Amino acid sequence: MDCKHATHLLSQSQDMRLTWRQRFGLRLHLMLCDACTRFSRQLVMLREAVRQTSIRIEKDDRLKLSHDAKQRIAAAMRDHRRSIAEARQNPDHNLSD
Amino acid sequence: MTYNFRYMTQHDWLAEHGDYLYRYALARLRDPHQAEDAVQETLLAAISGSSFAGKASPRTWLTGILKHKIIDQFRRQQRETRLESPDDIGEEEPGMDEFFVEDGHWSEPPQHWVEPGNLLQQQQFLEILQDCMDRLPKKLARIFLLREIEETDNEDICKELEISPTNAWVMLYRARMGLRKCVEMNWLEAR
Repeated sequence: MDCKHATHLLSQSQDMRLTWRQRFGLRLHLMLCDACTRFSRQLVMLREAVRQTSIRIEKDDRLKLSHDAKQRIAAAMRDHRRSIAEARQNPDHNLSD
Repeated sequence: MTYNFRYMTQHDWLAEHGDYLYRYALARLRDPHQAEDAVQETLLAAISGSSFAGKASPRTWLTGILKHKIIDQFRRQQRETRLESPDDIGEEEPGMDEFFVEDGHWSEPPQHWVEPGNLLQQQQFLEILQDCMDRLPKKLARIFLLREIEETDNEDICKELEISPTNAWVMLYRARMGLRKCVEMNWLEAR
């Protein structure tokens, strides 16, 4: 197994379970290859960092819907409710549409 | 009576859960406008839907709807990008040959990264990562983000995004290779 192939498998191993044969080949390669061992650690580090950023966004109370966005959404909700109510009152009309 | 009760609570959804839903969407889409749209679509779907029978908390229920809306957005965007630039998507070959020499060894082997120690360094690392994600082709950045932060099974992601498993792994591989290289260059320089 060369480094190129090892990086394919290392990326895949982040997303799915490799076959026994793939895992075995990869382990052998990593025992002998510092570069791919670093690559492997860095993939894990990138995943952790991406998750960390998302968690920070979710927990950041300063991030809010803008005033404009709130008004726009509220208006859309009103319109939507109205059209639902109208459809309930005139089911025939709605069907012929 | 039941209907009245539902109608009353609907008024509060935006006020009580709007910001929470927005942050949830922003963490996954990383785009304020798209996040706003996803919140709006969620609340509209919640008004028409009848599945909320008080079993779950409204927030849990709304978040469940939002998850689907985020996937919908994502799928729409992937479709649009595909029309704009039909290359990349649909490809089944990993490519990235520039990272390797002919015998399959690294042309520039990955360097050792000093782990970010204190909070300031962590912040710096996350900022570099964000910059690098912004520089990736959008379709790669999106699938990478979705895959890394959702605990979703790879197979489910493919199904939801209507792409083949081969195509998914090729895109994820390219995203990781490009991102890793960019982060490495900037992180080593910053240290």
